[in-house]
Amino acid sequence: MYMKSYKYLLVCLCTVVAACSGGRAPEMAPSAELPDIFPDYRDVTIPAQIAPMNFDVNYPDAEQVFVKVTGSKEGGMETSGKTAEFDEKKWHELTAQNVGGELAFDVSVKDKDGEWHRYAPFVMHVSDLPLDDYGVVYRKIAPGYQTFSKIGIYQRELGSFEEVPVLEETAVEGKCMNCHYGNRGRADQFSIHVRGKNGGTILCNGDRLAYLNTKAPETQGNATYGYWHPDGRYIAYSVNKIVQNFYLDKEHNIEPWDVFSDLIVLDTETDQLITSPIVATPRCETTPAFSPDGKKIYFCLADSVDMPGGYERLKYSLCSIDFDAEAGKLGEKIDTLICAADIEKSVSLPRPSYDGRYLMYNVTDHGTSPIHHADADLWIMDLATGESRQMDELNSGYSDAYHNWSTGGNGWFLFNSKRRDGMYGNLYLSCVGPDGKATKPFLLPQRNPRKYYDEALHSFNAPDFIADKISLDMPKVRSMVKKGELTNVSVKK
Amino acid sequence: MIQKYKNTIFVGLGLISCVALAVFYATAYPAHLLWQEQNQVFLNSRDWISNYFDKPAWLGCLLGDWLTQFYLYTWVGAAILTLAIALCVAGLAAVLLRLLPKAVAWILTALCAVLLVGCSMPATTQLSFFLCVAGGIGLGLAEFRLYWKETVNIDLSPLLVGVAYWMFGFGALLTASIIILLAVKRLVSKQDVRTWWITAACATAISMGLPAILCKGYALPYAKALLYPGIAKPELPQMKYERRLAISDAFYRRDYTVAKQLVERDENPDEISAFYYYLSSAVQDSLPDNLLKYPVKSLGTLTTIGETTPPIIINMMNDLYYELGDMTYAERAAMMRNVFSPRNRNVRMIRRLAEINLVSGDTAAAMKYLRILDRTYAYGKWSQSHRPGSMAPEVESDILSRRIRSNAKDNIRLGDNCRNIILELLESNPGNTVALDYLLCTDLLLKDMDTFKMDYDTYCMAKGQPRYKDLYQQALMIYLAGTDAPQEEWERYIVPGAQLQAFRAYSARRGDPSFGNTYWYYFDRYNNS
Repeated sequence: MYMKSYKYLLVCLCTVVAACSGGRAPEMAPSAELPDIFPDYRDVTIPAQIAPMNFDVNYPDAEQVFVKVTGSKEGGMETSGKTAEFDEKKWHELTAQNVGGELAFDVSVKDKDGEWHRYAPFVMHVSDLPLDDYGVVYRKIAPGYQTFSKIGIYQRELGSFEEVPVLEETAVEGKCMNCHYGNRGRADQFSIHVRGKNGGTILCNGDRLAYLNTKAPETQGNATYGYWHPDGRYIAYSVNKIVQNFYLDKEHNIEPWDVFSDLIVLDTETDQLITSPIVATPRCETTPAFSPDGKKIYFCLADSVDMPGGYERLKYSLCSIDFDAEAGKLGEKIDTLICAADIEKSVSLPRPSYDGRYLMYNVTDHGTSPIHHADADLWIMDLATGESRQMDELNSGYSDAYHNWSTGGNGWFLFNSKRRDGMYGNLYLSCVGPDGKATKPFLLPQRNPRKYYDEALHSFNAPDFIADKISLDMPKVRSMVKKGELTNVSVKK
Repeated sequence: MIQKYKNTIFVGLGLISCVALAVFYATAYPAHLLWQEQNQVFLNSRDWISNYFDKPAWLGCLLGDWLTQFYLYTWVGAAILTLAIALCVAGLAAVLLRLLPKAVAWILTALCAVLLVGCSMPATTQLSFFLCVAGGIGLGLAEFRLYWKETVNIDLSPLLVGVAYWMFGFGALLTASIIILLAVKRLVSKQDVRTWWITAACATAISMGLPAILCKGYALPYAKALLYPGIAKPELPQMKYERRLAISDAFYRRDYTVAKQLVERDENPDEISAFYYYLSSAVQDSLPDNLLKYPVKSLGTLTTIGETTPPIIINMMNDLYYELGDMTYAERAAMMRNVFSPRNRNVRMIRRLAEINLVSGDTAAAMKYLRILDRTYAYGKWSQSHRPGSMAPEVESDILSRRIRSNAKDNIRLGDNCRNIILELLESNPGNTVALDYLLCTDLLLKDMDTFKMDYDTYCMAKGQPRYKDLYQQALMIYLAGTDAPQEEWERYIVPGAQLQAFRAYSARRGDPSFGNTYWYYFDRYNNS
């Protein structure tokens, strides 16, 4: 009697295990139709170092997915289950074997009736351009609202799914953390603004960990948007007082704008601010970025208009000003690279590639905050010729913004796009190849992408690459923030 | 006789107390339970569950949040909370009975039970607190020794402190305390005079040292890591807050009549209760008929959301703007409410965000929230009934009626002044009576008769839709009398009848309390500054 019960139990267990583990699809001819998958990884170009590009199929009655991957050069792997989830170790072996080649994905789907459907294979191209950065860093925040960030800044390894916090709200309770600005992805050179009571700027520069009050009596406010000089001594900041107005309709939602904004350069060795009346005018100077050789600062400049009523007339030009790192001095004149009046658009967030070949920037109808504009598109300028073009190959009908380049200088870049739901900004990667064209962007892979992106209630704000894993002396940071042990900066005379 | 049945009596008393407590939670405190259920979301997915391992007390928090979703069913919630407290008390009794004389142990147990029940009173206490207490005590009672032949007898119980910290966070402090107390008892009873101190020292070191070692990885300050997920403070039952929560919940369920009845049961409703009374009235097209029932300074239109705004006020703002038809501000409040909820999620607000985006016609964003709700235990059906393309008829009609009321302009808002918001809504749709009544009644509360007259002219008379409500008639009479308006003006605005006769009577007896329910009396008597 008992033996019989055990047998039944064993059979049940085997059935459960078999059902959970899935199985191979039967041999059958593929249809001409490509599989409909999420994320859309069909025909994307990936770096060999990327984490497994797991995906799900967009068929509501799909019970099981079987995927056979074949490398164009060598190797292959299979996976089967509710979603296509690849073994990390085998995946990396396969991509390493097929650098410069392709991976063909042969997808079969079993429906609720137990019938299999085999689709036409799709490919992913494995780029021969390496992406050697350790990972990416980003702030997780509720979309659209710049205040009250209660989540934190995180770093995610690109080769795996590991995400660990750099600084969470739980560590500095009740504080709002702003974006992380690193120097070409260096893990030991970055700054993070902390807002609220005892707010200041956490500055990590090699062995130095300081907490700075970046407002000097002569300047209008605290440092906001930052960008490091390549030699690691200076950080160019804009000093912004940001307010936000809401649109009446849902399509536009919010319009952040600056009551004032000027440029400053912080000397991290002396804690002095380098200022110049030429970039501290009643006009709005914002979002600076050093050129890769450190001799120039790109920034955006707009004439003041009556805000918020005149918001449609607030258009920023792309400008540059010389910077002498030896003397610690800003230049005497401003060059206009793209004149807002000429294009009748607004330029924001200039980001030069670290090899000095390209400058990527945002273009919107107006304003300075592309993540809040559905019309925000990425543009690219060839710095050798000065020619610009709209990156139609990757722009969407939603906001595409917050871009930056990988530190290796191989053309890889990331950007934030709201193309999935118009609301939450997710992180996409792409590569500008030797022909100057960007590859089809792909969504940052996750172990189970549908669940991850469906369940997430945050945007990936201000993302950037990091060359190594960041390790922050949390007790020291906490103590500095809690006590408000701020080091005051002064203006260099 | 009593000695003989002592244990039975204690167990019986315990059971009766449990039943009484459960009945109390279910009948006198249900809104608190529901608040907890609404103030989180639990998703049945591997990714979601794996998040619990990012911090200590994964088992206490995971189990607590999983069980909290069943608070939606009042009696189930009451039973769960009572059982969790009973588990703590039973564990404490077991510890104390091993350490102290029985009488002292029972008295202390009873005192601790009262304290634990007190801890369940604030709306902020999560179930995980009780589960961490129970887990910590349970592991403290589990003796763990290594015996080998007769020569080795090592007390490995301190290792359980580490396990307790991993699974129950601050519960590890209870585990360590119990292990130490039991070791001291062995010393006192001369069972173990040699190694007791090693056990005690190890338990102390692990309970204090492990959080110090792990706090960096958990991204927590030491004090917070030590006491994770947080210690509840005992309080007396918050019956006033319970009423507020019940009113807010009834309103959210669209039981407007129930919401009003709950307010009416209170002799002196506070501003929050009055807010919901008036909002319910507005939705039922009777705000002007009820405006003078409870004295308030404003209808909530002066409140803004900041960093320190209490959660219930953010809920209020969300409800207000959603009913007025301003989806931008309703969404903002919902987002903020999520941010200030445990794990940044609040199931009431996730539902509201789905509704807001359905009203706005933003299907992709609505689907984002509906997909989240699909993964919950209780809201899958709700999500299905709100699916664009396959909405339940009553849902579709509600969404469409709200869409008509919402803002149709597409320019920027110049400020977050509620008056401007209401004016914009009325420009989009003059038939938005909720917005119209809020505008006119706000004018009247402020006794700003010129503005009232201007708004009434703009949005009622000029549109050919005079709104004949007693309140507005009374206010117009004050304005017309105060401006010595000619007869034709009176005829234009005032409907001849009882109100006009009453006004003449009141004019002869200004301030007469028998007119206490009229705007004339309010205008003369109340100082609303």
